[in-house]
Amino acid sequence: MLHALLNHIDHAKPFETASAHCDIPCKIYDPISAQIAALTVIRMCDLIAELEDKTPLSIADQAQLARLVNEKESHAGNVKHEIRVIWGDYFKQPQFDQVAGIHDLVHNIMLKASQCKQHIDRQNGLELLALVNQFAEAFWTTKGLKTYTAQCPYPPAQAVVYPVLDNA
Amino acid sequence: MSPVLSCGDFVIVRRTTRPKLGSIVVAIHPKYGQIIKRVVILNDKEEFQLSGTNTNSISTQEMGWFPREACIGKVVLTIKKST
Repeated sequence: MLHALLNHIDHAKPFETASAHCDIPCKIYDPISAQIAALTVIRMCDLIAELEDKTPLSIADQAQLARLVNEKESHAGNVKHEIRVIWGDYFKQPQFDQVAGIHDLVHNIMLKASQCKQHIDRQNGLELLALVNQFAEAFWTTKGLKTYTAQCPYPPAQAVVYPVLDNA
Repeated sequence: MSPVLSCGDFVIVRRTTRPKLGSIVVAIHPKYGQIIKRVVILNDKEEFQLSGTNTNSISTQEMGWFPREACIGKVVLTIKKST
């Protein structure tokens, strides 16, 4: 009640504000970063596969291959980081109660992302994206938002889970 | 500063330039502006260092030392969103 009263006053005549300056701005979490990283892993596998048709590889091709492998591994690592942050910082007991099996899901994402780092098999990337999409669906459920699945409008043109948002 | 403070909480601040160890203060930082943190180090010149209460906070080292006059005041009352 006191907070509501102060809120009214604050709207009429704003108080000074002080920030706690967290690295992650308060309450801003979104699994889309992990989904885009998983899509990138698939894309890198596709581009690596295209190089397979070129034999022998020129020095430029070899340089390109090194770059693609590096990007694939880097983005698989990004998936792990993004998911860990949401799971570790955002998820608390109320969210754990809402999403049965979230710990197993997160663990499976960690394992699958590691496989994506170790191999160039596209199937691993597809399975990683499927797991990250599951995580996104769970995340938006805890936010009270419905989700829909649509094909992303860029390569590798895979199904991605998005939140249903009201128009502003 | 979660869980001690959350976005949207109101605080009542008593003006002072004499920070006490352990208290939550509002202070001015040249880079981060007006910030709210806990005093964790205080020297005999009343210069001080601050820290947050969760792992996502900017670190004490990043904020560095604050001169005494950078202290705006001490938080004496918190009105949380949920109350």
